[in-house]
Amino acid sequence: MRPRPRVVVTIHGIRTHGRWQKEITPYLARHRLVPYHIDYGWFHVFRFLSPWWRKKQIQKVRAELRSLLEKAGTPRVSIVAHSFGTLIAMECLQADNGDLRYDRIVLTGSIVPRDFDWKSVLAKKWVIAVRNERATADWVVRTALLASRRPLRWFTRLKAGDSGRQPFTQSAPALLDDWIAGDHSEAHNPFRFERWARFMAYPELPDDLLSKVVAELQALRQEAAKVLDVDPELVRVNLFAPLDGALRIVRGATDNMQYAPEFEMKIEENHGATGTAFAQGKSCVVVKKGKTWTGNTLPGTELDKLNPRLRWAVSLPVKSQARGVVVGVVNVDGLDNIPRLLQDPNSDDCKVAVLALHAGMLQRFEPCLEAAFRGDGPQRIEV
Amino acid sequence: MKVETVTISPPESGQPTTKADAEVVMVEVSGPTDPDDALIKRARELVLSTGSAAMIKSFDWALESEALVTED
Repeated sequence: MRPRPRVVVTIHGIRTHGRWQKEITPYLARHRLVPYHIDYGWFHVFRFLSPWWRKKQIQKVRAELRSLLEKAGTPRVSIVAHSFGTLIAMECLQADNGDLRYDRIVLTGSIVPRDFDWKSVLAKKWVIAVRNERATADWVVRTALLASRRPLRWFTRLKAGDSGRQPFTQSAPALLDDWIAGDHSEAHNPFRFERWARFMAYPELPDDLLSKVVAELQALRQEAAKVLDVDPELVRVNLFAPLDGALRIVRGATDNMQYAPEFEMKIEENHGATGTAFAQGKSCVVVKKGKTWTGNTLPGTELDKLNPRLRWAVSLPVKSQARGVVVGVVNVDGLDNIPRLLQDPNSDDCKVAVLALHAGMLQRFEPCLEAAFRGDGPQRIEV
Repeated sequence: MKVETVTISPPESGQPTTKADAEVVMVEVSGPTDPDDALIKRARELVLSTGSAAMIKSFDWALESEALVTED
């Protein structure tokens, strides 16, 4: 089954028709993301301060989001929201209590309370990753905070914060914080659109990073063949990363793989060598000594997709140094014969080979994957 | 420094145990990383045999930054 379409919903704020929503569209399209703009028209500040109008608006957007998920046939959407749009997005999420889920979120000029419980939302996978884009001179979000305090709160019943000006109080590996010196409108300056689109496209790699990763995969295949003393033509390499609730091969990030069904593989965490390496953050080895892949390998539906000639695989987790979480798994595997060093996976020979391959690739892949996760370009990679 | 392998048990099937044709083995490294450890020395020799400067650089970086350590 092909991965589902990746829809990015944009939600504007008050007193605007959201021109930036139209401006960001080509950037999203460039990264194969499907834009969907929520336009609820000019929303006056008095309506924003009215609990009744606000609640009505949030309910409307919530219904629209649920309808969108159903029509697009996708379990999640990504979000880019500005100002009141940020509060709408997060209130919809909490109101649905897990029925509505987001993939990756960009908050700009955010008025979500600074003590928002991101750890819980991320742990429950209601949201996969967040970028909070702050503007340090944003007086509008400060005003929203004041309207949430007594005595104004008695009238507004508003629970807003100034997270568009100051960082959230919680920190988490998937919660990224960035800031710019500027005001409320500066937060969604078009020069940042490309970065946001790259962030939301992850783990799809933009062309500049993909070409670097592919070059490293090609080199790794030759090096692995040398380390394991096997014919390079029988060695393949690929990169798996989490997408749509499972680990999948990152589009284009393979070398010497020609068996089409394998490109459709979908591996759950803790399944097989790849899923275990991702979940546990440790290198894994699997060798097929008999005729079948029995043991803790993969469910039958996924085993059916494997190249019948596959005999062994080494799964190498790539851990983000900055955030301490596994961001992907590089697999080195081979056809027809099991290399001498891997014959006994519990032997010192096998440990030595795995240490050589893992240590020898880590520094080359981690910067690329971390840059892709953050939405950065290759110029930010320091190797 | 200790390098150990752990065999990942297959999920309980309720069926009588049979010998598996394949098994997933996880490699655990507990630190601190010792460059004089026999396994590390052999691993570095393997890396050197590739002649890849990028691989050697990454290997030395991983050792120095304790990036291979998976256990406290």
